[in-house]
Amino acid sequence: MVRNAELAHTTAMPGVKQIVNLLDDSTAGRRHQIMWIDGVGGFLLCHQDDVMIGQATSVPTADLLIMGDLSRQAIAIRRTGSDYLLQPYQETRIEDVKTNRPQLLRHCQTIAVGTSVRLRFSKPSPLSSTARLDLVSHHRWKPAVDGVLLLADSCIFGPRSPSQVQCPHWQSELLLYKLNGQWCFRTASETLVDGRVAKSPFPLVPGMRASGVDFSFSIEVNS
Amino acid sequence: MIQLLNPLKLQPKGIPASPAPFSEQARTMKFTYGTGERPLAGYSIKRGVGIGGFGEVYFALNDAGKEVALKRIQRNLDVEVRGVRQCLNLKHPNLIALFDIQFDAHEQGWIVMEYVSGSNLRDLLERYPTGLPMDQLCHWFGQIVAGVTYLHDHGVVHRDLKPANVFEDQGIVKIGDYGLSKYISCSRRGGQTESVGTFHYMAPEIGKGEYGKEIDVYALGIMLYEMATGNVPFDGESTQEIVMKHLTADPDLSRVSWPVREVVARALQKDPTARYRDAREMVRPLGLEIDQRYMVTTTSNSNLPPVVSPVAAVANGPSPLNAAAVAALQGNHHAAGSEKITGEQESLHYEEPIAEALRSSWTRVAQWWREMPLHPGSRAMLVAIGIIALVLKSAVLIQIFVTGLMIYVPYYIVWCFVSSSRSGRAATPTVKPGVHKQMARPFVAPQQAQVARPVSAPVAPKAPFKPLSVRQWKAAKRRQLGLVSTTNSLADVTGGWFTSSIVLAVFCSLVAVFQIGTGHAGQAQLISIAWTAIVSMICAWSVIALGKRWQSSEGDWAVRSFIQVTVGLGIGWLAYVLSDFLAVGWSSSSGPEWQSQFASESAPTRRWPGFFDAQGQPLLPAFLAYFPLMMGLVHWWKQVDPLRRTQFSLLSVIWSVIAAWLVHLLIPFPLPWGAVVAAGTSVAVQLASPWLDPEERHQLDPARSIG
Repeated sequence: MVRNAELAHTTAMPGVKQIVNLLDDSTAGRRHQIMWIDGVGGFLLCHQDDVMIGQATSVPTADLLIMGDLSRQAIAIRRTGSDYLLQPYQETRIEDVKTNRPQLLRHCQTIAVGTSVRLRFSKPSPLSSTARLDLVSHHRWKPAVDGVLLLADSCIFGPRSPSQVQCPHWQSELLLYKLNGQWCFRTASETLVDGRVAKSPFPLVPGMRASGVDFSFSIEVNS
Repeated sequence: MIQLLNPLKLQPKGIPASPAPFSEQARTMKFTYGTGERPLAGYSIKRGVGIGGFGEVYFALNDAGKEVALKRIQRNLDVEVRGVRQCLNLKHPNLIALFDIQFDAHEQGWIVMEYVSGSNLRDLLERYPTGLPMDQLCHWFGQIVAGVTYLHDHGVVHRDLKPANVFEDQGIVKIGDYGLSKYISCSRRGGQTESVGTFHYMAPEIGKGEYGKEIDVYALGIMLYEMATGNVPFDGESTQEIVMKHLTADPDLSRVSWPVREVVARALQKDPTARYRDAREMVRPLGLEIDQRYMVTTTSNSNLPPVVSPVAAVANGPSPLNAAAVAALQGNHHAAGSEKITGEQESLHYEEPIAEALRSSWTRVAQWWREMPLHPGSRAMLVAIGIIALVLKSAVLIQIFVTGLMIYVPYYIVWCFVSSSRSGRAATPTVKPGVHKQMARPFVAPQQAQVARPVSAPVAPKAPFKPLSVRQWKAAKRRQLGLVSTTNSLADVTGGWFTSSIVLAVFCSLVAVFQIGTGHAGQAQLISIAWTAIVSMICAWSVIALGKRWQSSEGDWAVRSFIQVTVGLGIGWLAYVLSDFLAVGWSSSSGPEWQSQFASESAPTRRWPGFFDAQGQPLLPAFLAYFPLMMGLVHWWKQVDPLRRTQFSLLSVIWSVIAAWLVHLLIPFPLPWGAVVAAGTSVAVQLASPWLDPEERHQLDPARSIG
């Protein structure tokens, strides 16, 4: 009932029709990939253009789940081109300003959802539209990862800024990119994929393990 | 007997195990196991976290979904397992918990422990290359010391304390790697054959095989220095150079401010017996305390945010003074249960009403001035305008003041007699004014009264640490000021000269504008203003230089006044030379009062015929008499003292003008230029002189600071 009321309120606002469909198109329960990078952290890879963020429950009702005091479907984020639009479904503040209508997200903005959950939205690289979501409050993603990558066209992992994921001890960058609809990666160093020497580009395959001179990571499917 | 405990080495997330403290030393991490592998039954590995000298550390989930860190023991299996068993049941929120020891199918040992998802202190230090803010420093250091104190009290020396071994999870600081610890033995302190750890944090006696608690105190001192400055105190190109510095060099304490400096200085003593005997002593100067449950709590002069009400805080203190404070805060004077206090309250009722009205009005005006949302530059300009107006009308104002004083003094004497007869005793003969103040206001300020706030654990009401009184604080600060190098002092002095010159330029420009506005801006007036600006600058420069020389001690006022008189002679001579050079026309630039003085036979100037010529122009003796007296009558060094009460005091400016006026009464000097020199000097030196950390003043014990 509450959700219906929220919907009615939201649809009453001009220019919100498109984003409301997110609820209907919710990818709740969709299987995500997690990139576990040794010595760096774990990152949830979101390939879709729109994601619903909500409370982690035994029956998931959102794409990205947070173990915190927020609605099961709290906010939605839709990517349009290189922009990200936030639609709140419960009390939400962007940079401490309350909002109840779609808002364009900017680099390094803090999103407060409900009473205590706080997220930071960042789009660190001008060369890539991929954005990153981090929990800045003392809450956790489910599954427990260090951040969420909203993959657009490419994503940079490297020792220097601006990278979506900074890997301080790497000597060179690793680039994730889309090639003919398939996510691949490439790096300057010699790479072993599942223990075998391979040549670039390397397709990103669930269950794979890749390692180079100074890096190693695995792709796991979150079930 | 010394027993080596298991080396449990948890590396920070994203930071390789490096013997150096700086993570830029890249190190290739090759993990044996990848995501999804289950080398240990019941645990599924997610990713590698780090690799240390003693094994690999993984982030893993057990079959129930519990997040853990798994450490694979790669060498010294028996020794390490024995050591971890000794530590398995240590429980403290500031220590990473050890859960279990398990063996895989290949008899490989694994340590199951708490997974910490947050960053470590090394990461934080890299974000703050010049040192952490004080609140962050206290937050981290207090909790680190709490954990180390717990270890020490349980007979364990950490032996490898360093920023990379300290993590933060959900706001709680946690120490890892305490598996490298050793039992403290009363009989022996050596016995370890292998020297491991990070050289930057390694105490000098480790080379001799001594592993007492003091090596942790030393490492804490190094960490504190690094947290305060962003750098370790002893660094070098090679390991030998670093070790040699630990053995012989003294840390550069000038980079560390008080009170951190005193903690670092004692913790980094080369002689272990000269260091803190107990780690918990290290946090007391920072306003923290480790309580009996090994929790860090804040004391009254802490920078950490307060949570306990002033009344509750004061109530913890059993002293009668504190009890009276509680009563005063609660508005229940009888609760204090002290007849003397009641008498003091009564005496307040009989406070002289005019003085009380003036004081309260002044307080309100001062408060309004402090709270007025104005830029400091605008404030200075307003003050300058006010001073100019005062100076130009000083003759009238002083007449009003003297008249008022003549009326008030007899009135006050009568009032004293009347009030004492009404109250049946002398007004306040037995009560010190300071106590009046104590009772008249809630002297335990909210922030100062906060105590017993645990940072990471339950509340423990306790306030054993006594904050400094104003006198103690000043003494400590003066000692610090005495340690300032000559180069830094010189830089301060030249900076002060520069700033004072700018202030005087603005000040004298305003005087000129004022003169133009009043239609008196002839050539003679403008030349006089230029003379005033330059002479004021000479005075200000002299005062700033002397003040810097004298800032490290209270000094004897008589000696200092004499030196100022001597300097005043020089200023007088320069002022005369300048006056002669500029050909200042004092008769035409001064007001009609000055000119009229020469018309009368009883004029004051006639008392000093050798000081003035027939046209009223002051001669060299007049300069040599006026300026030494003006310099000697005012305690200028107090206006440039870094420990002065407020950075800018209007009262000081007024007193400087009054002093100039008093000198003028004795040695007439062209009006109003003598007073303008005094006012300009006072404004310039106060605005140009440094003023030390006002925040520290708020941490003082208010009850002890009164009087």
